[in-house]
Parts: sequence; C-alpha cells; structure tokens
Amino acid sequence: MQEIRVIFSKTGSARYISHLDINRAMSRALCRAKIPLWFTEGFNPHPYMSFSLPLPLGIESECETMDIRIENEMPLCEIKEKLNAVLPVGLEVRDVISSFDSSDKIAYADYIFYFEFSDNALACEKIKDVLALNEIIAEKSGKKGKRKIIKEVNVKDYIKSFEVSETENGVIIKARICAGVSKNLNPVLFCESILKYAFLDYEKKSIKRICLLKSDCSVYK
Amino acid sequence: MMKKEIEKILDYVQKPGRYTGGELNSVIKNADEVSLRYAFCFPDIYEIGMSHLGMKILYSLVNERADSWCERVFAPDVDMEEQMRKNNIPLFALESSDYIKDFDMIGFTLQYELSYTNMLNMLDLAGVELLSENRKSLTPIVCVGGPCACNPEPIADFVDIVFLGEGEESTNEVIDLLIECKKNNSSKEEFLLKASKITGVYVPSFYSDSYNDDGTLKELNPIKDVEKTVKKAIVSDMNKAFYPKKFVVPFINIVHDRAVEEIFRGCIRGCRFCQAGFIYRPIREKNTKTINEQSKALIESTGYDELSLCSLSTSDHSDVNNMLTTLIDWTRKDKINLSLPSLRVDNFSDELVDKLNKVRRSGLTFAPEAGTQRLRDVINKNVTEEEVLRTCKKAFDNGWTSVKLYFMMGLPTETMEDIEGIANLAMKVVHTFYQNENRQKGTGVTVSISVASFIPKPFTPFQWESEDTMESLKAKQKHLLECVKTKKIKVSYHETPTSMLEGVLARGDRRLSKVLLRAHQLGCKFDSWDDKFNFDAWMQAFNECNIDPEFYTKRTRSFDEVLPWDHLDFGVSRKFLESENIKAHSNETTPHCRIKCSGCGANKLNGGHCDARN
Repeated sequence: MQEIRVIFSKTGSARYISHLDINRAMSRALCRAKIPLWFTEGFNPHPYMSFSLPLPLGIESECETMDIRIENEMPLCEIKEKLNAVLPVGLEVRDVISSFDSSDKIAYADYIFYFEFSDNALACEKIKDVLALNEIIAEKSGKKGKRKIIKEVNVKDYIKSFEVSETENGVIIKARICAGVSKNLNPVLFCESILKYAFLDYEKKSIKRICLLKSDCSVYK
Repeated sequence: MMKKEIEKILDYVQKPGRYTGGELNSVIKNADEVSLRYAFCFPDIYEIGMSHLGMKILYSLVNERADSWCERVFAPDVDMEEQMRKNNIPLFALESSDYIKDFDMIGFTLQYELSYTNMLNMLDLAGVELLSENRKSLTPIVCVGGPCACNPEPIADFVDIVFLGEGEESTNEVIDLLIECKKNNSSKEEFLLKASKITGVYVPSFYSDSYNDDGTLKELNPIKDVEKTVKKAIVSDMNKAFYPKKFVVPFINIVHDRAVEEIFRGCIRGCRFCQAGFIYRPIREKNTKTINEQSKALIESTGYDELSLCSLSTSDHSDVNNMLTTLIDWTRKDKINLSLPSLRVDNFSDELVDKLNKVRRSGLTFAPEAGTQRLRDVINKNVTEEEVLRTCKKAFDNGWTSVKLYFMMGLPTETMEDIEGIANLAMKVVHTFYQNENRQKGTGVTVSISVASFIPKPFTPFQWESEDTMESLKAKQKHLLECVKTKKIKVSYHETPTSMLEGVLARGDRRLSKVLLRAHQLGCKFDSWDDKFNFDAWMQAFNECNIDPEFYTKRTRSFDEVLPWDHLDFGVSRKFLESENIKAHSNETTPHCRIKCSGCGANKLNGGHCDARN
C-alpha cells in the first residue's frame, strides 16, 4: 500500500461542486481511471480518501489536495494522466506526489478576489480605505456546545498581507489570510465584510484560492 | 459556457449545482453545426428529474445524431425561479445555458399528473406561449410523453404533439420530419399533419370534443385527415433497442444516483389497479447477455459503485437465477453494489434469498396491496397470506429484522374489514418473527406498513370505478391506526387532497385545460410537494371555470360511456378491460400471462409476439 497526494484545480462551473460532492466525484473518477485503490477493511469497505481544508461553494482553486491509498505501486505520472483522461470539465490534476505535509501544518491561504464594479476606480479607493482600518468587524456563525451562536470577529486580525489594484475592467485584491485548524477565515466572509464596509455592490465577482502555506510561509504540499 | 447573468444569480440560490451543467458525460455540441435543438424538460427539480431513466435513454438517443443536440431542463426550485424572474432570465437548458424558447422542440416527460402545473410554469418561465393555438410558427414544437400521456386530454390545449408509448423510434422519426420541414419552410400545420402519420404520434388539435347533456363525453372526432384512433409505439426487440452506454453523472446528490439497467418492459401480472402493468404491454425481455454487457458499459463510463435493475417485477424475468448469478459474479469482484428492487412474495425462492445474501443487505419490501384475500382477489394481486408469511419467515431466517409492506386504501369494494385485515396481516408478520427459532437474537422486529390511496387510472380494469372520497379515506386511515396495537408496526400514509386532484387529472377530459391554466395563473406549482400544494387555489380554479372536480372522481362510469382516452390504442383491448372489471366484482382472479394467455390483445402491437409465451 502506498499513500499519495493528488493536487488538483477546480475552476469554471466546477466551483459549484460542494466539498462533499467533490469527494463523490473523485471516487467515481478513480474508479473510471482504474486506479488500484486500497479499500478500508471494515464491514462496509470503501476507498480511503482525505481532503485538506474544505473550499467554500462557489470558489475556484489551484491547489486542492486529495490523499488516497493505492494497493500496488503505480508511477505517479501515470496516475495523473489516467485521472485527467476521465475527470469532468473544471477538475484537473496538477501533480501527484508521494511525500507531503500533514494537513495540520496549514497556516495561511492566498486568494485572489476579482470584482467588476460600475466605477472600478472609485471602488478600488474605497476598498483600500477599508483595508487600512484597524478593525473590520464581521459576524461569524459558530457553535457553543450544540447551540448555534453568532460571534463577532475582527477580520483584520486574520489578514497576513494584502494588495489591491485596479485592472482594465475590474479590481483585484490579493490577500494572504489565516487558514487551517487553529485560526481560519472564510474568504467569502472576508470579501463580504469589506464590501459591506465600503458600501459596494459588484456586478461580477470571482474568488480563487491560489495556494496554501505553512506558518513560515513556505508552500504547503 | 454559463451566461454572466446566470452566474450572478447563482450566488443567491441553494444548490447552484442544479443549474450549472458541466457534469460528466453531458453532451456539448456546436450549436451552429446542428439542424435541430431539443430541450428535454422534466417538470420537477433536478434531483428528481435526473433520476429518471426515460430521460437518460432519449437524451443519449437524440445526441447520437450528428444533426441534433438534446439538452436537459428541470424546474428551477422556488428560490431560483424568484431570482430568474427578478432578473428577467428566461428558462435555459443546462448544457449550453441557451434559452429554450429558441429551441426547435421542447419536450416534457409526464411521470405524474401533479406535475402538469410545473410544465405550464416552465413554459411561462421560458417565455413560450402556453396555448398551442397561440404558437403560430413552426418552432418550437411542444411535445409530451411518458405514462401520463396515455390520457393527455387535460393538457390537450397546451401541447402540439403527444408521444404515445415508447419514444425510441418515434422520436427519431419526428426529428427527421421537423428538420425537413424547417428546410422547406413548411407551416406548423403541414408538419403536424405529416407527424400524425407516424406511429405513436397524436396531435390533439386535430380532434374536437363534444359532450352529452349529463356532462359526459359524446365524441372526440378527427377534424383533419387523421386516423380515428391513434396507436402507441413500441420497440419490438429489447435486445436491439437503443440503450445508453453513458449516463450523465451528477455532482450533487440526486434521488437515484446509480447505474440502472432495464431488464424488461411490460408485466405478466395484470394487477387490476396498476396502470403500468397494462400500458407497457406486451412484455419484452432483454436476455442475460445483453443485461450484462449494458450494465458493464454503464459502470465503466460512469464510475458508479451501485447498479440497480429496473423493471416492474425483477423476479419475473424468465432467466432470473442465471441473470443474477452472472451479475453478482462480476459486481462483487469490482466492489459494485447490486440492488434488486421489485421482488414478489410468491417467487421469493431459496435461490433468490441466496443471491440476496451475496449483495449488500438492504431493506426488504413486499406489496400485498390489500389486507384480505377477498380484496386481493378483487385486485388480482394473486398473492396469498401464506406466501406473505412464508416469505417473511424466510427473510427472518436469513437475518432480516425489518420488512416493509405496501398497501393501498380506497380500492373498489373495500370495507372496514379489509382495513382491519392490513393491521392483522402486519400483526401476523410480527408473530412470525417471534415464533421463528432462527431469528436474529437480541433485537426486535419492525414492520413498516405504507398505505397509498388508490386512484383509478385510464387503461386499467378499474378505469370505470369511482374514487374513494377524502372523508372516507380519512376515516379508514384513522381506523387503521386504531387497529394497530403495537409499536412494532409503523404506519405511514399519504395526504388525501392531492389524491383527489390526481384522480381528476388522471381521468379528466379536455375541459380541464382551462382549469389548469387558471390554477397556473393562481400560482399553483409543485403540487406533488405537500408543503407547496395549494388546495384552496385549486378549488378556486375549478369554481371559476364552473367545473365540479367530483364529476371526475365520484362517478362510477358505465361501460357505454365514451372515455376521454378511448381514441388512443395502447394495445390492451377495451373488451378485455371490461371482462377484467366484471371478474373483479365477482372476486375472480386471472392467472398471470406465463400460466395462461388471457388474450388482452397487446401482442398485436408486436406482430402477435409476446415474451410471456415465447
């Protein structure tokens, strides 16, 4: 048995596939690709699969990971080729590796937020002003025991670095925000609270996760 | 490619995966390179529509043609519809996200009567005129098919053509014709006249209805040069019939998310309440080789880990043991779960139990349908209490600790005694469990009884019967609950107002089109969803149109009455249905087709051939 990590991208309409559904889509793809999967040995055998840091619905990504176990040795490039031949549009394997970091090492994630506003120049200034504030308070739903509660968080505490720029048709925010088990910020909450503070309504929006990083800001792999 | 305006509203709806397309095996073509575009619509939400086998067959069939592109369309859920209407986005097809009003054919599959208002709502959302007579241009042609199309009269005003029976061949013929008519700039009427010559194609606007003083139908006569009766279409050889090699594999969880292999069409049983048992006759089987080949191809192309067999009664396949042995052989090796629905108590053999023990254990469901032998004879279920108990014992011997039993309520000639019979039979099943030495120890038994309300349907021996009233059904449900004295028996049943409406639409005539239109205007949709069904709005629609729904449900029809579907020929003769009705009322059963051919007449659709008699 060999444990390997499949690094894949999720773009276009595939961003509407939820985390749970990705799990199923991938397990079917592995079957079609005839990858010799290792099955759990319990009462109800199923292939072992593990994903790091779930991606919220509607967000694209260049750096999703899926860890699987295979029974027989198989060249990693062959796994990549076979999977790419059967994956639905929008899902693509970028790399297959055999030695990798454990998912609790994730500390940050880089995102690119792209917006189109009716007045991009003005919006860009407003966003810069908001991000210069010391406090950007947002409401985050959480749990206390079994009860659902609303917590207030300062989004600013979760931002490691950012960069705002105006492009030909829109505005781009590049941000490195906290991610992982100990301190995590949902990118949707990030952009919603900024837009709320700036009183902005967009015409088009897209969010993409570019890469995951460890606490020393080296790439999580 | 998704349109920008559609992409934007997806942020505001639940489960956007329903509306994005892009699933594995969905077919993308170049719109400029095809001569015909077909919007195949299922008038319910994605999760339900995507589970439907007929759509998968016809989707692949049309897309095999280089000159046509078939796309899928489902009813958007309430939140999505709200967004679409707010942003002026008309109904679009999933593959191209193009608006279906620009398509050449818009086809709806009608699986249940309560989806009719969804069809109207979808046409409205698409920006297509609802009434056939208001659609003057050749395209789009609005067509319907599916089991409810065997009495299409309530929706006659809305549709251009109705596909009767199986669409594998007639769909292609209609597409050929429409492409030719588009090339020649033919009028819609020219197209419809030519289409009506194709077997299985009915054009409602070519027939006119008149009524007697008592409100019953007088006649439905052709007003154009078309046949007086229209025959349904069938495929004659299931081994040669088209079957998809690929299914579209959805990302989101749908109701039946698995590979499905149809093993035969039709049924040998002749249960008198069952519409499917008559309208799909004659029985035609796939052989074991075909079933294995087709199933394997589907598993390969989809990556599904579950395969389900589809037919009206799995265990009635003439080669069932050999078929299951071969299927279990390779599915086990490939870690595929095989599921075997629709088993009968009277041929639940040791061999079959042995097979079931090899596949993943699921619940066991049997359908005695009625509580007493007398009533089971009336409906020709041909199942005895001994068989039910013997089968349950066999199941308990083999480790099952729960069974589900299906019954119906409101059957013709039913009395409270028959209702008590349901509770008694369930109680005997409980006793069978505890008297069984081999039962699984340390656990109790659960017997779930699920009771549906019987609705008389066209083309069945009960098509002349009155439907039980809402009050009577409620009283029977209450009585049943009182008769069940133990918590080991769980009872579930269905709400009655929807049953009443289903009954009206099932045996309705053309005058109901205006009621449907009014109900649609009053906002009725998703009538089959209890939380969305608006009974008051429906009653208002009936009132305003001066139509009494009870005319369709409460009345027992005589054999002399002209029925709204008498001009449609589904193979089974009216004479046969009449004789079955008479036998029902004298508690007489009819043996199934393998024991003895009872001459229903359906074999004449297939050149006199019927697989029940080889």
